[in-house]
Amino acid sequence: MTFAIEARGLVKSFPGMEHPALDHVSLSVPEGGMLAITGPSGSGKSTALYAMAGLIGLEAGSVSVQGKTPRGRADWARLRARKIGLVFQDDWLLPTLSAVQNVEMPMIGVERSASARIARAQAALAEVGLSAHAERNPAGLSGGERQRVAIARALANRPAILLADEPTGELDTANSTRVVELLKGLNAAGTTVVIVTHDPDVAAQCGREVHIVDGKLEEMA
Amino acid sequence: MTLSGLALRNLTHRPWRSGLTLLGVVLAIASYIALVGLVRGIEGTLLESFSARGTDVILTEAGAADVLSSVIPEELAGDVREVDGIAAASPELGRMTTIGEATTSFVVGWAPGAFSFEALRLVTGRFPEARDRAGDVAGGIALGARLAERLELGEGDRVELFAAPFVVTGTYDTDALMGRNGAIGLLSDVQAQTYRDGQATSVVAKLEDDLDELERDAVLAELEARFPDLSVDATEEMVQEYVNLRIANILAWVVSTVAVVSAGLAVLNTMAMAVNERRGEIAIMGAVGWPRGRVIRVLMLEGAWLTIAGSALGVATGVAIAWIVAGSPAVEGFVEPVIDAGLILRALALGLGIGLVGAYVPAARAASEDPAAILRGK
Ligand SMILES: Nc1ncnc2c1ncn2[C@@H]1O[C@H](COP(=O)(O)OP(=O)(O)OP(=O)(O)O)[C@@H](O)[C@H]1O
Ligand SMILES: [Mg+2]
Repeated sequence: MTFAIEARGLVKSFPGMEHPALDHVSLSVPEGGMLAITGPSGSGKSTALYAMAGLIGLEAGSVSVQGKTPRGRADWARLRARKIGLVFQDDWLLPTLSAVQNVEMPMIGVERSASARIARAQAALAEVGLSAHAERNPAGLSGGERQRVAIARALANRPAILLADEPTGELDTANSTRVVELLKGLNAAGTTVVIVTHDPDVAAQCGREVHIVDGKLEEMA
Repeated sequence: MTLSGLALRNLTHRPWRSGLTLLGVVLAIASYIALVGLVRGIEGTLLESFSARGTDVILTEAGAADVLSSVIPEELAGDVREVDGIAAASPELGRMTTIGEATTSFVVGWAPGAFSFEALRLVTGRFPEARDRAGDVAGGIALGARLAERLELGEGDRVELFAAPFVVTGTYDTDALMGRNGAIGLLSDVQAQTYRDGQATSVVAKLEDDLDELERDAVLAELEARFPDLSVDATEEMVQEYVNLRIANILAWVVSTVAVVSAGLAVLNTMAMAVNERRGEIAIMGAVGWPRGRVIRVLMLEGAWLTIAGSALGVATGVAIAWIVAGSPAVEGFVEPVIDAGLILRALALGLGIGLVGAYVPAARAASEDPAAILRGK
Protein backbone atom coordinates (compact mmCIF):
# COMPACT_ATOMS: atom_id res chain seq x y z
CA MET A 1 0.00 0.00 0.00
CA THR A 2 1.35 3.46 -0.80
CA PHE A 3 0.60 6.14 1.71
CA ALA A 4 -0.20 9.74 0.94
CA ILE A 5 2.32 10.62 3.60
CA GLU A 6 4.68 8.37 5.47
CA ALA A 7 6.85 9.82 8.24
CA ARG A 8 9.53 7.62 9.76
CA GLY A 9 11.39 8.38 12.95
CA LEU A 10 11.26 12.18 12.77
CA VAL A 11 13.54 13.95 15.20
CA LYS A 12 13.70 17.70 15.57
CA SER A 13 14.92 19.79 18.46
CA PHE A 14 15.14 23.50 18.99
CA PRO A 15 17.83 25.20 21.03
CA GLY A 16 16.95 25.77 24.68
CA MET A 17 14.35 22.99 24.90
CA GLU A 18 14.60 20.20 27.46
CA HIS A 19 13.26 17.53 25.10
CA PRO A 20 13.04 17.36 21.32
CA ALA A 21 10.02 19.00 19.65
CA LEU A 22 9.71 15.76 17.68
CA ASP A 23 11.00 12.64 19.36
CA HIS A 24 11.11 9.75 16.88
CA VAL A 25 7.69 10.43 15.43
CA SER A 26 6.43 7.92 12.86
CA LEU A 27 3.09 8.35 11.19
CA SER A 28 1.45 7.04 8.03
CA VAL A 29 -1.57 8.63 6.44
CA PRO A 30 -3.30 6.49 3.79
CA GLU A 31 -4.52 8.02 0.53
CA GLY A 32 -7.92 9.55 1.06
CA GLY A 33 -7.62 9.47 4.85
CA MET A 34 -8.61 12.24 7.25
CA LEU A 35 -6.42 12.58 10.32
CA ALA A 36 -6.52 14.88 13.32
CA ILE A 37 -3.38 15.67 15.30
CA THR A 38 -4.17 16.85 18.83
CA GLY A 39 -2.14 17.58 21.92
CA PRO A 40 -1.29 20.27 24.43
CA SER A 41 0.18 23.58 23.39
CA GLY A 42 3.86 23.33 22.59
CA SER A 43 3.76 19.57 22.24
CA GLY A 44 5.04 19.57 18.64
CA LYS A 45 1.85 19.34 16.53
CA SER A 46 2.72 22.16 14.14
CA THR A 47 6.31 21.00 13.92
CA ALA A 48 5.13 17.52 12.90
CA LEU A 49 2.77 18.96 10.27
CA TYR A 50 5.43 21.24 8.77
CA ALA A 51 7.89 18.36 8.65
CA MET A 52 5.36 16.54 6.44
CA ALA A 53 5.46 19.52 4.03
CA GLY A 54 9.24 19.84 4.00
CA LEU A 55 9.15 23.24 5.71
CA ILE A 56 11.47 22.13 8.48
CA GLY A 57 14.93 20.65 8.39
CA LEU A 58 15.06 17.37 10.38
CA GLU A 59 17.86 15.92 12.48
CA ALA A 60 16.76 12.38 11.75
CA GLY A 61 14.01 10.52 9.97
CA SER A 62 12.45 10.92 6.57
CA VAL A 63 9.17 11.77 4.97
CA SER A 64 7.75 10.19 1.81
CA VAL A 65 4.94 11.69 -0.18
CA GLN A 66 2.98 9.27 -2.35
CA GLY A 67 5.83 6.80 -2.03
CA LYS A 68 8.61 9.18 -3.02
CA THR A 69 11.13 10.79 -0.72
CA PRO A 70 11.91 14.36 -1.82
CA ARG A 71 15.55 15.42 -1.73
CA GLY A 72 16.33 19.01 -0.92
CA ARG A 73 14.61 22.33 -0.91
CA ALA A 74 13.74 22.58 -4.60
CA ASP A 75 12.20 19.09 -4.61
CA TRP A 76 9.97 19.99 -1.69
CA ALA A 77 8.99 23.31 -3.28
CA ARG A 78 7.86 21.44 -6.39
CA LEU A 79 5.85 19.01 -4.25
CA ARG A 80 4.14 21.81 -2.33
CA ALA A 81 3.29 23.53 -5.60
CA ARG A 82 1.67 20.42 -7.09
CA LYS A 83 0.70 17.89 -4.44
CA ILE A 84 0.43 19.50 -1.00
CA GLY A 85 -1.88 22.35 -0.02
CA LEU A 86 -1.23 24.16 3.25
CA VAL A 87 -3.58 26.10 5.52
CA PHE A 88 -2.39 27.95 8.62
CA GLN A 89 -3.99 29.38 11.72
CA ASP A 90 -3.51 32.85 10.22
CA ASP A 91 -4.59 33.34 6.65
CA TRP A 92 -1.32 34.94 5.42
CA LEU A 93 -3.07 36.48 2.43
CA LEU A 94 -1.02 39.05 0.52
CA PRO A 95 -2.65 42.38 1.41
CA THR A 96 -1.89 43.98 -1.95
CA LEU A 97 -3.72 41.31 -3.93
CA SER A 98 -7.43 40.68 -4.36
CA ALA A 99 -8.96 37.41 -3.18
CA VAL A 100 -8.82 35.87 -6.65
CA GLN A 101 -5.21 36.98 -7.16
CA ASN A 102 -4.24 35.44 -3.83
CA VAL A 103 -5.73 32.17 -5.00
CA GLU A 104 -3.95 32.54 -8.34
CA MET A 105 -0.56 32.88 -6.64
CA PRO A 106 0.37 29.19 -6.21
CA MET A 107 -0.49 28.53 -9.86
CA ILE A 108 2.21 30.89 -11.12
CA GLY A 109 4.92 28.63 -12.44
CA VAL A 110 2.53 25.65 -12.57
CA GLU A 111 -0.17 26.79 -15.00
CA ARG A 112 1.19 28.86 -17.88
CA SER A 113 -2.03 30.32 -19.21
CA ALA A 114 -3.14 33.39 -17.23
CA SER A 115 -6.77 32.93 -18.25
CA ALA A 116 -6.71 29.30 -17.11
CA ARG A 117 -5.21 30.42 -13.81
CA ILE A 118 -7.95 32.96 -13.27
CA ALA A 119 -10.67 30.49 -14.22
CA ARG A 120 -9.30 27.94 -11.77
CA ALA A 121 -8.92 30.56 -9.05
CA GLN A 122 -12.56 31.56 -9.58
CA ALA A 123 -13.60 27.90 -9.39
CA ALA A 124 -11.65 27.44 -6.12
CA LEU A 125 -13.33 30.52 -4.68
CA ALA A 126 -16.70 29.13 -5.74
CA GLU A 127 -15.84 25.92 -3.90
CA VAL A 128 -15.42 27.86 -0.65
CA GLY A 129 -18.52 29.95 -1.38
CA LEU A 130 -16.77 33.24 -2.04
CA SER A 131 -17.36 33.91 -5.73
CA ALA A 132 -19.04 37.20 -4.88
CA HIS A 133 -15.95 38.51 -3.10
CA ALA A 134 -13.36 37.56 -5.70
CA GLU A 135 -12.22 41.13 -6.39
CA ARG A 136 -12.05 42.24 -2.77
CA ASN A 137 -8.79 42.84 -0.98
CA PRO A 138 -8.17 40.86 2.25
CA ALA A 139 -8.75 44.01 4.30
CA GLY A 140 -12.35 44.04 3.06
CA LEU A 141 -13.09 40.47 4.16
CA SER A 142 -14.09 39.03 7.54
CA GLY A 143 -11.76 36.64 9.39
CA GLY A 144 -13.84 33.63 8.36
CA GLU A 145 -13.90 34.77 4.73
CA ARG A 146 -10.16 35.30 4.72
CA GLN A 147 -9.57 31.82 6.05
CA ARG A 148 -11.80 30.43 3.30
CA VAL A 149 -9.77 32.37 0.71
CA ALA A 150 -6.66 30.78 2.25
CA ILE A 151 -8.26 27.35 1.84
CA ALA A 152 -9.12 28.18 -1.77
CA ARG A 153 -5.45 29.14 -2.26
CA ALA A 154 -4.39 25.78 -0.81
CA LEU A 155 -6.74 24.07 -3.29
CA ALA A 156 -5.57 26.10 -6.30
CA ASN A 157 -3.37 23.41 -7.78
CA ARG A 158 -5.81 20.59 -6.84
CA PRO A 159 -3.42 19.00 -4.34
CA ALA A 160 -3.83 15.35 -3.38
CA ILE A 161 -2.97 16.26 0.21
CA LEU A 162 -4.20 19.12 2.37
CA LEU A 163 -2.33 19.95 5.58
CA ALA A 164 -4.07 22.39 7.94
CA ASP A 165 -2.57 23.87 11.12
CA GLU A 166 -5.43 24.90 13.40
CA PRO A 167 -7.45 26.29 10.50
CA THR A 168 -10.32 27.11 12.86
CA GLY A 169 -8.15 28.50 15.66
CA GLU A 170 -9.04 32.11 14.96
CA LEU A 171 -12.67 31.55 13.98
CA ASP A 172 -16.00 31.60 15.86
CA THR A 173 -18.20 28.50 16.04
CA ALA A 174 -20.27 29.25 12.95
CA ASN A 175 -17.23 29.92 10.81
CA SER A 176 -15.38 26.92 12.31
CA THR A 177 -18.20 24.61 11.40
CA ARG A 178 -18.23 25.95 7.88
CA VAL A 179 -14.48 25.42 7.45
CA VAL A 180 -14.63 21.89 8.91
CA GLU A 181 -17.52 21.03 6.58
CA LEU A 182 -15.44 22.29 3.71
CA LEU A 183 -12.49 20.11 4.65
CA LYS A 184 -14.75 17.09 5.12
CA GLY A 185 -16.25 17.71 1.72
CA LEU A 186 -12.80 17.81 0.14
CA ASN A 187 -11.88 14.58 1.90
CA ALA A 188 -15.06 12.94 0.68
CA ALA A 189 -14.02 13.93 -2.84
CA GLY A 190 -10.70 12.09 -2.40
CA THR A 191 -8.26 14.57 -0.88
CA THR A 192 -6.10 13.31 1.97
CA VAL A 193 -6.57 15.73 4.89
CA VAL A 194 -4.44 16.23 8.01
CA ILE A 195 -5.68 18.76 10.57
CA VAL A 196 -3.86 19.98 13.67
CA THR A 197 -6.50 21.06 16.15
CA HIS A 198 -7.19 21.84 19.78
CA ASP A 199 -10.89 21.37 19.30
CA PRO A 200 -12.17 17.89 20.37
CA ASP A 201 -15.29 18.35 18.22
CA VAL A 202 -13.19 18.92 15.15
CA ALA A 203 -11.00 15.94 16.00
CA ALA A 204 -14.05 13.78 16.47
CA GLN A 205 -15.17 14.47 12.93
CA CYS A 206 -12.00 13.08 11.46
CA GLY A 207 -11.65 9.40 10.76
CA ARG A 208 -8.59 9.06 12.95
CA GLU A 209 -6.86 11.02 15.72
CA VAL A 210 -3.27 10.95 16.93
CA HIS A 211 -2.06 12.69 20.06
CA ILE A 212 1.34 14.30 20.59
CA VAL A 213 2.76 14.99 24.04
CA ASP A 214 6.28 16.33 24.52
CA GLY A 215 7.19 15.41 20.98
CA LYS A 216 6.04 11.80 21.31
CA LEU A 217 3.18 10.48 19.26
CA GLU A 218 0.47 8.19 20.50
CA GLU A 219 -2.44 6.75 18.58
CA MET A 220 -5.93 7.41 19.98
CA ALA A 221 -8.45 4.67 20.07
CA MET B 1 -1.30 38.74 -12.36
CA THR B 2 2.39 38.68 -13.21
CA LEU B 3 5.50 38.83 -11.05
CA SER B 4 6.28 42.40 -12.12
CA GLY B 5 2.64 43.35 -11.54
CA LEU B 6 2.92 41.97 -8.03
CA ALA B 7 6.14 43.92 -7.46
CA LEU B 8 4.49 47.11 -8.71
CA ARG B 9 1.51 46.62 -6.41
CA ASN B 10 3.81 46.18 -3.44
CA LEU B 11 5.39 49.53 -4.24
CA THR B 12 2.18 51.45 -4.80
CA HIS B 13 0.80 49.93 -1.61
CA ARG B 14 3.36 52.00 0.34
CA PRO B 15 3.36 55.26 -1.58
CA TRP B 16 5.30 57.32 0.96
CA ARG B 17 8.16 55.00 1.41
CA SER B 18 8.40 54.18 -2.28
CA GLY B 19 8.15 57.89 -3.11
CA LEU B 20 10.97 58.90 -0.80
CA THR B 21 13.25 56.17 -2.05
CA LEU B 22 12.41 57.15 -5.60
CA LEU B 23 13.41 60.72 -4.75
CA GLY B 24 16.76 59.49 -3.43
CA VAL B 25 17.44 57.68 -6.69
CA VAL B 26 16.30 60.70 -8.74
CA LEU B 27 18.68 63.00 -6.84
CA ALA B 28 21.61 60.64 -7.18
CA ILE B 29 21.19 60.11 -10.90
CA ALA B 30 20.40 63.77 -11.51
CA SER B 31 23.52 64.97 -9.74
CA TYR B 32 25.61 62.39 -11.54
CA ILE B 33 24.30 63.51 -14.94
CA ALA B 34 24.46 67.23 -14.18
CA LEU B 35 27.92 67.23 -12.63
CA VAL B 36 29.58 64.97 -15.14
CA GLY B 37 27.83 66.76 -18.02
CA LEU B 38 28.97 70.17 -16.81
CA VAL B 39 32.56 69.17 -16.16
CA ARG B 40 32.76 67.58 -19.57
CA GLY B 41 31.33 70.80 -20.96
CA ILE B 42 34.03 72.88 -19.29
CA GLU B 43 36.66 70.52 -20.62
CA GLY B 44 35.22 70.79 -24.12
CA THR B 45 35.02 74.57 -23.89
CA LEU B 46 38.67 74.88 -22.97
CA LEU B 47 39.84 72.44 -25.58
CA GLU B 48 37.88 74.00 -28.41
CA SER B 49 38.94 77.49 -27.34
CA PHE B 50 42.47 76.47 -28.27
CA SER B 51 41.90 74.07 -31.10
CA ALA B 52 39.33 76.21 -32.92
CA ARG B 53 42.04 78.88 -33.17
CA GLY B 54 44.57 76.62 -34.73
CA THR B 55 46.84 76.88 -31.70
CA ASP B 56 49.08 73.84 -31.29
CA VAL B 57 51.46 74.97 -28.58
CA ILE B 58 51.08 77.39 -25.75
CA LEU B 59 53.97 78.81 -23.71
CA THR B 60 53.28 80.25 -20.28
CA GLU B 61 55.16 81.18 -17.15
CA ALA B 62 56.57 78.03 -15.58
CA GLY B 63 54.73 77.15 -12.40
CA ALA B 64 51.71 79.39 -12.97
CA ALA B 65 48.49 77.74 -11.77
CA ASP B 66 46.67 78.49 -15.01
CA VAL B 67 47.00 80.57 -18.17
CA LEU B 68 45.52 83.71 -16.70
CA SER B 69 47.93 83.89 -13.78
CA SER B 70 50.97 83.66 -16.02
CA VAL B 71 53.05 86.75 -16.84
CA ILE B 72 55.76 86.74 -19.56
CA PRO B 73 57.38 89.40 -21.78
CA GLU B 74 55.72 89.80 -25.17
CA GLU B 75 59.07 89.83 -27.01
CA LEU B 76 59.39 86.11 -26.39
CA ALA B 77 57.03 85.57 -29.34
CA GLY B 78 59.82 86.67 -31.68
CA ASP B 79 62.26 84.16 -30.17
CA VAL B 80 59.69 81.38 -30.44
CA ARG B 81 59.15 82.18 -34.12
CA GLU B 82 62.88 81.51 -34.74
CA VAL B 83 62.56 77.84 -33.72
CA ASP B 84 62.54 75.34 -36.59
CA GLY B 85 59.10 73.82 -37.17
CA ILE B 86 57.19 76.82 -35.81
CA ALA B 87 54.96 78.35 -38.49
CA ALA B 88 53.72 81.29 -36.47
CA ALA B 89 53.81 82.63 -32.92
CA SER B 90 52.18 85.59 -31.26
CA PRO B 91 51.81 87.03 -27.79
CA GLU B 92 48.44 86.99 -26.13
CA LEU B 93 47.18 88.82 -23.06
CA GLY B 94 44.06 87.25 -21.60
CA ARG B 95 41.88 88.74 -18.88
CA MET B 96 38.71 87.63 -17.22
CA THR B 97 36.68 90.80 -16.82
CA THR B 98 33.34 92.55 -17.07
CA ILE B 99 32.10 93.87 -20.40
CA GLY B 100 29.03 96.04 -19.99
CA GLU B 101 26.58 93.81 -18.14
CA ALA B 102 28.37 90.56 -18.91
CA THR B 103 30.42 89.61 -15.89
CA THR B 104 33.36 87.24 -16.21
CA SER B 105 33.90 87.49 -19.93
CA PHE B 106 37.15 86.39 -21.52
CA VAL B 107 38.92 89.25 -23.26
CA VAL B 108 42.15 88.73 -25.17
CA GLY B 109 44.56 91.20 -26.64
CA TRP B 110 46.23 90.13 -29.89
CA ALA B 111 48.96 91.82 -31.88
CA PRO B 112 47.86 93.17 -35.29
CA GLY B 113 48.14 90.43 -37.91
CA ALA B 114 48.38 87.60 -35.34
CA PHE B 115 47.71 84.20 -36.93
CA SER B 116 44.87 83.64 -34.45
CA PHE B 117 42.68 86.09 -36.40
CA GLU B 118 42.59 83.64 -39.32
CA ALA B 119 40.43 81.17 -37.42
CA LEU B 120 37.67 83.73 -36.80
CA ARG B 121 34.82 84.58 -39.18
CA LEU B 122 33.85 88.24 -39.27
CA VAL B 123 30.10 88.69 -39.12
CA THR B 124 29.94 92.49 -39.19
CA GLY B 125 32.49 95.33 -39.30
CA ARG B 126 36.19 94.63 -38.84
CA PHE B 127 38.76 93.68 -36.20
CA PRO B 128 40.27 96.43 -34.00
CA GLU B 129 43.05 98.59 -35.39
CA ALA B 130 45.50 101.00 -33.79
CA ARG B 131 43.58 104.02 -35.07
CA ASP B 132 40.53 103.09 -32.95
CA ARG B 133 42.35 104.53 -29.96
CA ALA B 134 41.58 108.22 -30.36
CA GLY B 135 40.26 111.01 -28.18
CA ASP B 136 38.53 109.63 -25.14
CA VAL B 137 38.19 106.13 -26.69
CA ALA B 138 40.67 103.65 -25.16
CA GLY B 139 40.59 101.28 -28.13
CA GLY B 140 38.53 99.09 -30.43
CA ILE B 141 37.01 95.78 -29.48
CA ALA B 142 35.46 93.00 -31.56
CA LEU B 143 32.73 91.00 -29.84
CA GLY B 144 31.95 87.32 -30.16
CA ALA B 145 28.58 86.82 -31.86
CA ARG B 146 26.89 85.35 -28.81
CA LEU B 147 28.23 88.03 -26.48
CA ALA B 148 27.10 90.79 -28.88
CA GLU B 149 23.66 89.21 -28.91
CA ARG B 150 23.50 88.98 -25.11
CA LEU B 151 24.64 92.59 -24.68
CA GLU B 152 22.60 93.81 -27.65
CA LEU B 153 25.63 95.64 -29.02
CA GLY B 154 26.85 96.12 -32.59
CA GLU B 155 29.36 97.91 -34.73
CA GLY B 156 29.90 101.52 -33.65
CA ASP B 157 28.40 101.08 -30.15
CA ARG B 158 30.39 102.04 -27.11
CA VAL B 159 31.01 99.70 -24.20
CA GLU B 160 32.72 99.96 -20.82
CA LEU B 161 35.75 97.70 -20.52
CA PHE B 162 38.52 97.83 -17.88
CA ALA B 163 36.66 100.92 -16.60
CA ALA B 164 37.38 102.69 -19.89
CA PRO B 165 35.25 103.41 -22.95
CA PHE B 166 35.86 101.09 -25.92
CA VAL B 167 34.20 101.17 -29.32
CA VAL B 168 32.79 98.02 -30.93
CA THR B 169 34.48 97.60 -34.31
CA GLY B 170 32.62 94.46 -35.36
CA THR B 171 31.40 91.02 -34.43
CA TYR B 172 32.83 87.60 -35.27
CA ASP B 173 31.89 83.97 -35.01
CA THR B 174 33.94 80.88 -34.16
CA ASP B 175 33.40 77.23 -33.31
CA ALA B 176 34.53 77.82 -29.76
CA LEU B 177 31.84 78.56 -27.21
CA MET B 178 34.21 80.70 -25.16
CA GLY B 179 35.19 82.60 -28.29
CA ARG B 180 31.58 83.30 -29.19
CA ASN B 181 31.11 84.68 -25.69
CA GLY B 182 34.42 86.54 -25.56
CA ALA B 183 35.92 89.69 -27.02
CA ILE B 184 39.15 90.62 -28.82
CA GLY B 185 41.10 93.83 -28.56
CA LEU B 186 44.53 94.95 -29.64
CA LEU B 187 47.37 93.73 -27.47
CA SER B 188 48.66 97.28 -26.89
CA ASP B 189 45.23 98.58 -25.83
CA VAL B 190 44.61 95.72 -23.41
CA GLN B 191 48.13 96.12 -21.99
CA ALA B 192 47.58 99.84 -21.50
CA GLN B 193 44.27 99.37 -19.68
CA THR B 194 45.50 96.56 -17.40
CA TYR B 195 48.89 98.05 -16.44
CA ARG B 196 50.71 95.32 -18.31
CA ASP B 197 52.82 97.20 -20.85
CA GLY B 198 55.08 94.79 -22.70
CA GLN B 199 53.53 91.79 -20.97
CA ALA B 200 51.56 88.81 -22.17
CA THR B 201 49.94 85.87 -20.42
CA SER B 202 51.10 83.44 -23.08
CA VAL B 203 52.71 82.99 -26.44
CA VAL B 204 50.59 80.87 -28.72
CA ALA B 205 52.21 79.09 -31.62
CA LYS B 206 51.27 77.09 -34.64
CA LEU B 207 53.41 74.23 -35.92
CA GLU B 208 54.22 73.70 -39.55
CA ASP B 209 51.57 71.58 -41.21
CA ASP B 210 53.71 68.72 -42.52
CA LEU B 211 55.21 67.54 -39.21
CA ASP B 212 54.80 63.95 -38.10
CA GLU B 213 54.45 62.91 -34.47
CA LEU B 214 58.21 62.54 -33.91
CA GLU B 215 58.98 65.90 -35.44
CA ARG B 216 56.28 67.53 -33.33
CA ASP B 217 57.82 66.07 -30.20
CA ALA B 218 61.22 67.29 -31.35
CA VAL B 219 59.90 70.84 -31.75
CA LEU B 220 58.35 70.73 -28.29
CA ALA B 221 61.61 69.44 -26.83
CA GLU B 222 63.54 72.20 -28.59
CA LEU B 223 61.16 74.83 -27.18
CA GLU B 224 61.58 73.41 -23.69
CA ALA B 225 65.34 73.48 -24.04
CA ARG B 226 65.42 77.05 -25.29
CA PHE B 227 62.94 78.44 -22.81
CA PRO B 228 63.62 76.81 -19.46
CA ASP B 229 61.61 79.51 -17.64
CA LEU B 230 58.49 78.73 -19.63
CA SER B 231 56.09 75.90 -19.48
CA VAL B 232 55.61 74.46 -22.96
CA ASP B 233 52.36 72.63 -23.51
CA ALA B 234 50.64 71.02 -26.41
CA THR B 235 47.13 72.44 -26.15
CA GLU B 236 45.41 69.12 -25.56
CA GLU B 237 47.60 68.18 -22.62
CA MET B 238 47.25 71.71 -21.37
CA VAL B 239 43.51 71.28 -20.99
CA GLN B 240 43.95 68.06 -19.14
CA GLU B 241 46.44 69.60 -16.75
CA TYR B 242 44.37 72.68 -16.08
CA VAL B 243 44.22 72.82 -12.29
CA ASN B 244 40.71 74.22 -11.95
CA LEU B 245 39.44 71.56 -14.25
CA ARG B 246 41.14 68.87 -12.23
CA ILE B 247 39.47 70.22 -9.11
CA ALA B 248 36.12 70.33 -10.88
CA ASN B 249 36.62 66.78 -12.05
CA ILE B 250 37.44 65.54 -8.57
CA LEU B 251 34.53 67.43 -7.04
CA ALA B 252 32.13 66.06 -9.62
CA TRP B 253 33.41 62.57 -8.96
CA VAL B 254 33.19 62.91 -5.18
CA VAL B 255 29.75 64.51 -5.14
CA SER B 256 28.24 62.07 -7.58
CA THR B 257 29.82 59.11 -5.82
CA VAL B 258 28.41 60.24 -2.50
CA ALA B 259 25.03 60.75 -4.13
CA VAL B 260 25.09 57.35 -5.79
CA VAL B 261 26.26 55.54 -2.65
CA SER B 262 23.62 57.20 -0.49
CA ALA B 263 20.94 56.33 -3.04
CA GLY B 264 22.17 52.76 -2.91
CA LEU B 265 21.86 52.78 0.87
CA ALA B 266 18.38 54.31 0.63
CA VAL B 267 17.25 51.52 -1.68
CA LEU B 268 18.92 48.93 0.53
CA ASN B 269 17.20 50.38 3.59
CA THR B 270 13.79 50.54 1.91
CA MET B 271 14.09 47.02 0.64
CA ALA B 272 15.36 45.74 3.98
CA MET B 273 12.41 47.35 5.74
CA ALA B 274 9.93 46.19 3.15
CA VAL B 275 11.31 42.68 3.32
CA ASN B 276 11.37 42.62 7.10
CA GLU B 277 7.78 43.78 7.27
CA ARG B 278 6.73 41.12 4.83
CA ARG B 279 8.46 38.07 6.24
CA GLY B 280 5.07 36.41 6.47
CA GLU B 281 4.30 37.08 2.81
CA ILE B 282 7.70 35.79 1.81
CA ALA B 283 7.21 32.70 3.94
CA ILE B 284 3.83 32.01 2.36
CA MET B 285 5.35 32.27 -1.11
CA GLY B 286 7.69 29.48 -0.08
CA ALA B 287 4.87 27.52 1.54
CA VAL B 288 2.76 27.48 -1.63
CA GLY B 289 5.72 26.06 -3.50
CA TRP B 290 7.44 29.04 -5.06
CA PRO B 291 11.09 28.22 -5.57
CA ARG B 292 13.57 30.44 -3.75
CA GLY B 293 14.69 32.04 -7.01
CA ARG B 294 11.20 33.26 -7.83
CA VAL B 295 10.74 34.79 -4.39
CA ILE B 296 14.02 36.67 -4.79
CA ARG B 297 12.99 37.73 -8.29
CA VAL B 298 9.76 39.37 -7.10
CA LEU B 299 11.63 41.35 -4.47
CA MET B 300 14.33 42.34 -6.93
CA LEU B 301 11.69 43.44 -9.40
CA GLU B 302 10.47 45.88 -6.78
CA GLY B 303 13.95 47.36 -6.57
CA ALA B 304 14.18 47.37 -10.35
CA TRP B 305 10.86 49.17 -10.82
CA LEU B 306 11.83 51.74 -8.26
CA THR B 307 15.22 52.45 -9.77
CA ILE B 308 14.16 52.33 -13.43
CA ALA B 309 11.56 54.99 -12.72
CA GLY B 310 13.99 56.90 -10.49
CA SER B 311 16.80 56.77 -13.04
CA ALA B 312 14.60 57.93 -15.90
CA LEU B 313 13.32 60.85 -13.86
CA GLY B 314 16.85 61.47 -12.61
CA VAL B 315 18.25 61.72 -16.13
CA ALA B 316 15.56 64.21 -17.14
CA THR B 317 16.13 66.24 -13.96
CA GLY B 318 19.91 66.12 -14.38
CA VAL B 319 19.74 67.38 -17.96
CA ALA B 320 17.44 70.20 -16.88
CA ILE B 321 19.68 71.17 -13.95
CA ALA B 322 22.81 71.15 -16.13
CA TRP B 323 21.25 73.51 -18.66
CA ILE B 324 19.83 75.78 -15.97
CA VAL B 325 23.25 76.02 -14.32
CA ALA B 326 24.96 76.62 -17.66
CA GLY B 327 22.48 79.42 -18.40
CA SER B 328 22.87 81.19 -15.05
CA PRO B 329 24.45 84.66 -15.29
CA ALA B 330 27.64 83.70 -13.44
CA VAL B 331 28.75 81.09 -15.96
CA GLU B 332 26.75 81.87 -19.08
CA GLY B 333 28.92 81.55 -22.14
CA PHE B 334 31.51 79.27 -20.56
CA VAL B 335 29.85 75.94 -20.42
CA GLU B 336 27.52 74.00 -22.56
CA PRO B 337 26.79 70.68 -20.81
CA VAL B 338 27.99 67.68 -22.76
CA ILE B 339 25.43 64.93 -22.11
CA ASP B 340 25.53 62.22 -24.73
CA ALA B 341 23.81 58.87 -25.06
CA GLY B 342 26.80 57.15 -23.45
CA LEU B 343 26.53 59.22 -20.29
CA ILE B 344 22.78 58.68 -20.10
CA LEU B 345 23.16 54.93 -20.56
CA ARG B 346 25.82 54.85 -17.88
CA ALA B 347 23.55 56.74 -15.49
CA LEU B 348 20.67 54.36 -16.20
CA ALA B 349 22.90 51.34 -15.72
CA LEU B 350 24.20 52.82 -12.48
CA GLY B 351 20.66 53.39 -11.26
CA LEU B 352 19.54 49.90 -12.14
CA GLY B 353 22.66 48.48 -10.52
CA ILE B 354 21.84 50.32 -7.30
CA GLY B 355 18.35 48.86 -7.34
CA LEU B 356 19.33 45.31 -8.07
CA VAL B 357 22.13 45.16 -5.52
CA GLY B 358 20.05 47.03 -2.95
CA ALA B 359 17.20 44.59 -3.42
CA TYR B 360 19.21 41.40 -3.75
CA VAL B 361 20.90 41.49 -0.36
CA PRO B 362 17.74 41.65 1.80
CA ALA B 363 15.79 39.46 -0.64
CA ALA B 364 18.32 36.66 -0.57
CA ARG B 365 18.46 36.79 3.21
CA ALA B 366 14.69 36.73 3.60
CA ALA B 367 14.22 33.91 1.10
CA SER B 368 16.68 31.77 3.02
CA GLU B 369 14.77 32.06 6.28
CA ASP B 370 12.91 29.07 7.63
CA PRO B 371 9.25 29.71 6.64
CA ALA B 372 7.93 27.41 9.36
CA ALA B 373 9.18 29.64 12.17
CA ILE B 374 7.16 32.54 10.77
CA LEU B 375 4.02 30.73 9.67
CA ARG B 376 3.64 28.86 13.00
CA GLY B 377 1.61 31.74 14.37
CA LYS B 378 1.62 35.50 14.71
N1 LIG C 1 11.41 28.02 15.21
C1 LIG C 1 11.43 27.64 16.48
N2 LIG C 1 12.41 28.07 17.28
C2 LIG C 1 12.46 27.68 18.58
N3 LIG C 1 11.58 26.87 19.14
C3 LIG C 1 10.57 26.42 18.40
C4 LIG C 1 10.44 26.77 17.03
N4 LIG C 1 9.35 26.16 16.54
C5 LIG C 1 8.82 25.47 17.54
N5 LIG C 1 9.54 25.62 18.66
C6 LIG C 1 9.27 24.98 19.95
O1 LIG C 1 8.99 23.62 19.70
C7 LIG C 1 7.94 23.18 20.51
C8 LIG C 1 6.84 22.62 19.65
O2 LIG C 1 6.29 23.68 18.91
P1 LIG C 1 5.00 23.52 18.02
O3 LIG C 1 4.75 24.80 17.33
O4 LIG C 1 5.15 22.32 17.17
O5 LIG C 1 3.87 23.26 19.11
P2 LIG C 1 2.32 23.09 18.91
O6 LIG C 1 2.01 21.72 19.43
O7 LIG C 1 1.94 23.37 17.54
O8 LIG C 1 1.76 24.18 19.90
P3 LIG C 1 0.48 25.13 19.76
O9 LIG C 1 -0.69 24.30 20.03
O10 LIG C 1 0.70 26.18 20.79
O11 LIG C 1 0.51 25.66 18.36
C9 LIG C 1 7.49 24.34 21.35
O12 LIG C 1 8.10 24.26 22.62
C10 LIG C 1 8.03 25.52 20.62
O13 LIG C 1 8.35 26.57 21.48
MG1 LIG D 1 0.94 24.94 16.60
